[in-house]
This record gives sequence, structure tokens and C-alpha cells, in this order.
Amino acid sequence: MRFIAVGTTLLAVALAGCGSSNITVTMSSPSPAVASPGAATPSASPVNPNAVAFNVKVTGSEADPAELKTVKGKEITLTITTDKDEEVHLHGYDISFDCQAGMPLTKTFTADKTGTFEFELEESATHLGNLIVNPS
Amino acid sequence: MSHSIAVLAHGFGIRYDLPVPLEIYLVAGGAVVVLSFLVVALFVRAGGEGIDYPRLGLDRVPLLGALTRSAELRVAGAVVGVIGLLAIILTGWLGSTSATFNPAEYLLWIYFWVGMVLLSALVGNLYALLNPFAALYDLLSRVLPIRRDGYRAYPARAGIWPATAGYFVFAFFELASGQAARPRAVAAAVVIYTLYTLAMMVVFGRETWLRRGETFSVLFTLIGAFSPLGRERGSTVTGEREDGRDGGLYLRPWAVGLLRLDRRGWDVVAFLVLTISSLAFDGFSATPPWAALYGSLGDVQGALNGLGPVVVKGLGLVAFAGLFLAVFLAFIALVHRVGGGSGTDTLTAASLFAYTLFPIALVYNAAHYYSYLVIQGQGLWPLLSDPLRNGANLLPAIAGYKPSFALADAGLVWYLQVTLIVVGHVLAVYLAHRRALTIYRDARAAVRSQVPMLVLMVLYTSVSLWILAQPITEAG
Repeated sequence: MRFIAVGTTLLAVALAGCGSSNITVTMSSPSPAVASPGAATPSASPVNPNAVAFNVKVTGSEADPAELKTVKGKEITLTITTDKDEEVHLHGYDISFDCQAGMPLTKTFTADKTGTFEFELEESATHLGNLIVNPS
Repeated sequence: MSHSIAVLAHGFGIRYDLPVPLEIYLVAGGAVVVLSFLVVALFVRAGGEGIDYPRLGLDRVPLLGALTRSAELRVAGAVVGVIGLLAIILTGWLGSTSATFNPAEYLLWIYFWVGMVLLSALVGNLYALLNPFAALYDLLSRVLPIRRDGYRAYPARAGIWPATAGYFVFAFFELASGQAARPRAVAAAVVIYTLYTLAMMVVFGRETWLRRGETFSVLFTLIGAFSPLGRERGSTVTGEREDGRDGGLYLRPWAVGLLRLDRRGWDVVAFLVLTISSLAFDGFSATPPWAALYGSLGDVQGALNGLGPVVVKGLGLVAFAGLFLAVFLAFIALVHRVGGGSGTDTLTAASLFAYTLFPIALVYNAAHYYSYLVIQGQGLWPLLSDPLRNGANLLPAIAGYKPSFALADAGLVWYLQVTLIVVGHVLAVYLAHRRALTIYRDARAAVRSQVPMLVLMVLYTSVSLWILAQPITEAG
């Protein structure tokens, strides 16, 4: 399935140019040393009631958790950690996680589309799980 | 490799649907039962009548009448059809080997198989206008001295069996072969079907093969009969009369045109049951029970090497067809006994009632594929700028187009889906009652005969609703 991965990369490059998407993708630091403030309550910023965080661990071709449920309008913070260097792709929202083994990678976006959205290992097109966004 | 193809449940691409919530599912189920009884109640008073329905002649409408009779429209339709066919073959063969980036996949599985079917059902038989095989034949017969009525007499016994067999092969290719998302395989299949169809038209004659043997012409005749655009009797599949003149066009309510179809035989029954069972299998093969069954057959599949998924899905397709046929025939036997069976045999009753199930297949098709059509269908647009994926930038304005999800919000999709299913059910119940009144002499017996028919239709509709309420899973 290498050609799919190559194709997707090409598309991602092509789409990066247009940038008129209403999804905001911000990348946090991929370094685990910086991105581990523990479970401490946020100090300065007030807790956003609209925020939802998911932490997905990928081992081989299994994701834990494999089903991420939320409702439309939430601010999603999705962190993915893989056991190998892998690209994880979230369909529909069309967000790619270029993961390095053991390094949590976090992206935030607004759940502005309803539906069942697959996320998969891009290289081998292995289905890992679904992000399920219900109407609010 | 087999894994990635298994993800692509039908044809190719991804469905983003959410399962219909329980409360909408239950309300729709209730509506199905209540509306069924309402239709029955109305017909108890109606009494026996023919197959008349309101018509609005279009031939006298100034521009429209001239347009539908014009040779230019025919030529334009043929050109569009042939361009579409060539586009599938060329991009499928020369373009990206990845389905997502190959226009052939979008053109065949979304724009033809979903879009054109729905548009034809809503408006009129578009395939009769665009049929590329008929157009290529006509082109060929200008160059070569081909006899329009063929060289061999078409065996009457064959009926529409070639079309029925073709439908099964098509469903197998789409749902079981694992090849549907491979653009090269799609291109090859289309080339083979084109050559086969042209050869058969030469051997048995143009009209004969289009009416009996060509799967899509037969299918779109059914769809056209559902559509509101009718032609006066005497016209053929391609919209031409035997004497070469057009039959007059007229408007009618949806679905009632199916009552004009009266060809009977096992070939007809098999074709119609296949249209429902293969769609149901497509839906079912994305549900958790199928995933569980599929998973439990892992050992069997292992023993079959790479062919495992193909064999299991192929058997699933056959099993669904067999099951739907058996259930249909059992209910028809009951219908026929209650109806008194006067003057007709069971096969005739089975054939005539089979047409009345067609709205159920059509609405299920629409409900099942709606979001696929409106979301995945948009994936073709950026590809138009670089159809062969060789770096061309023919249409820079759309090269970076991103699909909009505006038309596929879950709330909208759910209500649309269940509304479609309920409307299709009511149409089918209505058609079956009118059929019963023409088949059975005694109006009371006719109405009584529709009790088992109603149970059958509620059963079919429940299956459709149940599938829509299942979460989408991936098998294999």
C-alpha cells in the first residue's frame, strides 16, 4: 500500500497550499520531557468546559482506546503515541500524525463534522479505530 | 493488501455514517406499521380497478416536446456516455493505482452506480439517453455492414437470464471480489463488459440484447418505470419504437409506472430479488454481526490462502440471495392461497408482485449511499485537475478542493434515511395492493391476500432500518 501513502502525502502537500480549512491544527511539542506536566490542574488558564482530551496508545496494529466518542462542537485534544515510527491518519478531518516511536504527539481541532471517522496507520492502511462525533 | 481492501466495504471509499439512534429507529418502525394499515384501510374501500394513473403529456409543451424528440439530444447523450466510458477505462488504466486518487473509481462506483441510479429514479431513465454501448454499436454499424437485428435468433427460453447473471457478476465484483478498489481491475472489467456487450448486440441484434441481455439497460428500465417520466406503450428500452419513432413522453406520479411492467418468469423474479438482496448484503457486511461471523471463519479463510475473503463474501452474497428468494416465495405462496389463486399460477403472481418490491430496493440504495454520494463524491473534483496523477494542473482553481460535510450532518442524514425507508415502504405496499386488485378477481380476496404481503414488506423494511441503526464496522 505504499502508493496510497505516497499519494496521500502528495495530496496533503497539495492541500497544505490552500489552507482554507476551518479546522485548526496546532502541534504541541513532540518531546515527552516537555509535554508531561503530570495530572496537575492547570494553573493560569481556566478549564475549558468544551475541551475533550483523548490519549491513544498504538501497539502494533492495535489502538487503545480504539473508539473515541464525542459530540459536535467540542475542542478535541488528541494525543497519539506509537511503538514504531508511524504516520497515523484521521480520515474526514484529514489530519496526519507523524509519530516517532514512544513520543506522544498532540494535535487539537474542533469536532465540526458529525460521523464515524476512521483513523489508520497510513503506511500499511491498517484500521486502528474510529472517532465518533455525534450531533450535540 | 487484503486488509486495506476489506476496509472498503462497497466499491471503494469510506462511509462516515453514524448509526440511526434508537428513538428515531423505533419511531420509523412504528410509522411503517401505522402507515401500512392506513394504506390497507384506504384500499378496502377502493375496489378493483386497472392500472390507470394521472398523466401529463409533455409532447405539446412547446420547447420540451421538440427537445425530447430532437436528434441533437440523442447525439449529445451518446457523446457524454461514450466520454464517460472512455474516461473510466483511460484513467483506470493509466492513472493512480490508488483508488482514492483515481477518477475511474469515483465515476463508476459513485457517479454511475449511486448518482445516476438516484437521478434516474427521481427524474427519468438517464441511461437510455447515455448508454455508451448503444452509442458505440451505432458508430460501429456506420463503418461496418452489421445487420441491426442480428445473425442469430435470441432463444426465447433465455428470457432476461443473461441480464440477471450479469447483475450477479457485477454485485460479486463490487462486494466480494476484492478488486473493486483497484483501478486497473476496474478498467479491465469495463473493457471486457464493453466488448462482450458489443459482440452480443451484433450476434442477437441491438434491441433484443438491450432489452433482454444487457444488465444495466434492464436495471434502468425498472428504475425508469419508477421515475415520473413515462413513454407511451410500444416504446422500447432505448426510447425508440419498433418502427423507429418515439413514443410520447408524459409525467406521472413516482412508482406507479412499475405497474405497467408485466414480464413474468423466474428470470424476472431472480433479477428483482437480487437487486434487494445484494444491497442488503452490502449494508450487512458493514455491521458487527457480520464482522463477528467473518472473524469466526478465520480458520476456514486461512485454509483457502489469499482467496479466503473472496470465497466467504461470495458465499455471503449467494446466501443472501437464496434467503431473500426463499422468504419471498414462501410469502407469495401464502398471498396466492389467500387471494384465491384464480386464473393465475404462483410464478405469475411471484413475478407481478416482485416488481412491487423495487421501491424498497431504491430507497434503501438512496438511504444507504446518501452521505457516500454527497461526501465521497466530492473527492473527484480535485482529481479533475490531474486525472492521471502525473503532475498536470489543468484546473488550478479546484486542485486544492476539500470536501464539505455540510450536506451530511448526522441529524439531517438520519431523518432523511428513515423518511426514505418509510416512503419506499408505503409505495411498495400501495403498488402491491393495486397489483392484487388486478391479479385476483374478488376485491375482498385481493385485500385479504395483502395481509401476508404486508408482513413481508414490514420484514424487508425492518431489515433496512436495522442495518441503518448498526454501527459501521470493518470485517477483516
